[in-house]
Amino acid sequence: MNSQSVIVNHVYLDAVGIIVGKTEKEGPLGRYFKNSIKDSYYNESTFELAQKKLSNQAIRLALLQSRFESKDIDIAFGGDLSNQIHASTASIEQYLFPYVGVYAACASFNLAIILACIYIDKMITCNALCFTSSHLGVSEKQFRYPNEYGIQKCSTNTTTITGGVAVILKRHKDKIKISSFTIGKIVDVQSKNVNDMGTCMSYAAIDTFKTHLKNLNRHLNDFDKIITGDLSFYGSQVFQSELMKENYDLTGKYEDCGNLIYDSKKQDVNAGGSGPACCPAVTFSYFLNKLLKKEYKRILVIATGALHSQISYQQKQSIPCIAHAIELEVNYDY
Amino acid sequence: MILKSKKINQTIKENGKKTQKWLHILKAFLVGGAFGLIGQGLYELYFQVCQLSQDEASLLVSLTLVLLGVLMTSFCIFDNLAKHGGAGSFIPIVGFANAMSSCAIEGKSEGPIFGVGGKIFSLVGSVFAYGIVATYLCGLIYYLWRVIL
Repeated sequence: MNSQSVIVNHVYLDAVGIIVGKTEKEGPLGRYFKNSIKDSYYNESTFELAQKKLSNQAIRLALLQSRFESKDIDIAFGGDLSNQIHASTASIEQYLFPYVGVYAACASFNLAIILACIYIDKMITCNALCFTSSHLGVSEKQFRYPNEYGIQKCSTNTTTITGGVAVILKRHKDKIKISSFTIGKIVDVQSKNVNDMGTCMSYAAIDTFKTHLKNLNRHLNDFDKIITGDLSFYGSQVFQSELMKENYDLTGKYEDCGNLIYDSKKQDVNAGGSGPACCPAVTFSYFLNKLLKKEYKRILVIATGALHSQISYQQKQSIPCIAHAIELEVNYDY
Repeated sequence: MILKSKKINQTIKENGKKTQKWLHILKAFLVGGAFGLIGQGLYELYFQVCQLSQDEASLLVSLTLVLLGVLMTSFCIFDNLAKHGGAGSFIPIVGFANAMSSCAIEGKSEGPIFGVGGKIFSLVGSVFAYGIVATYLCGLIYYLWRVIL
């Protein structure tokens, strides 16, 4: 039995709640985001409180769409980039469901979904809530420089998206199914450059991609799209060219959520979007829409995370990266 | 899993290379020069019009530029300017004012003691520390030079 890649048979998508910031709403995918905020403070006094509210609002939106009420939710998995994943933890203080905090940097949401899949598929629970959030101001303050500090960014830097995403998964049959997942391993390319995490993470994504295909006997043609989370403009180039060398031709089959969410020519975002909410916000709006219209049958979503800390980076340690993959497909039986 | 290859490091290095180097230099020159021009204008104003002494006028120029830097930071102008200006905006004293005030603004939510007071020097603290060490060393060398000769 393979423990890294697992097929799940009874996990379906119930409801999605997405809320994004102003820049994301103005981006090319703006029409797919029904809920957005105009002010990055979201009527709160600090960015941290705004992120908490974003997370909370996303959960509320998902619960509104879902047939479950908050008291019916069996378990919740959530994580984000803020220190000690405080934004996620604080955002569900009003609810009574049990909660597991997860951290895999920008791959947190996929990890949450993977854990929820295990819980639902093994019949431990009937449903599960997965949520995440990210905020540009919080990430800048924590990982980079003060927001108002005047510094020129590298062209390889990504912009953390502002937004919150919550998804409710269930055991009852529905239109969209999560059919399998692969838990990634740590890939460290010995890079110490925090300004180009996309390139570092692309090697983790390549490893997870190949593992997923190999372990589950899938072929590239089984998928309509291969989606990565936030490899940036540079990382996605590496991802495609490295896989090309191994005879995986991704031409026309590959998208990166960070490249889709912003228009890097018109918007001042450097190498694209990143952050834990980036991958799910695009996947569960734009790509979900395509799946519901049956334009795509099956997609593979690989979210990547750079697992460094502020201290490890200042001590000049290399950046360990991880990539978790989930497979979404249309359920034709429904 | 550790993947070690020279090619990966090479790719990362190449990605980070700045394109349009000359444009960056020109922009930095223009922004830095503009701050220099404002400074000189202020100096002339204080020295010629206000009839202050040379020392007083130069001191007031620095103070006015610091105020300008803080105001530009507070109104979210400075970071947008610095995107183009680069070294032209952070080397002059306005850049120093920006580094201090941006940290203070960031720390505001954590209170006056640990937030504003504690964080205000987080970026410029090393400038003070090594600045003092450097002046001390220079003074010592100068003193010894005088004693020997």
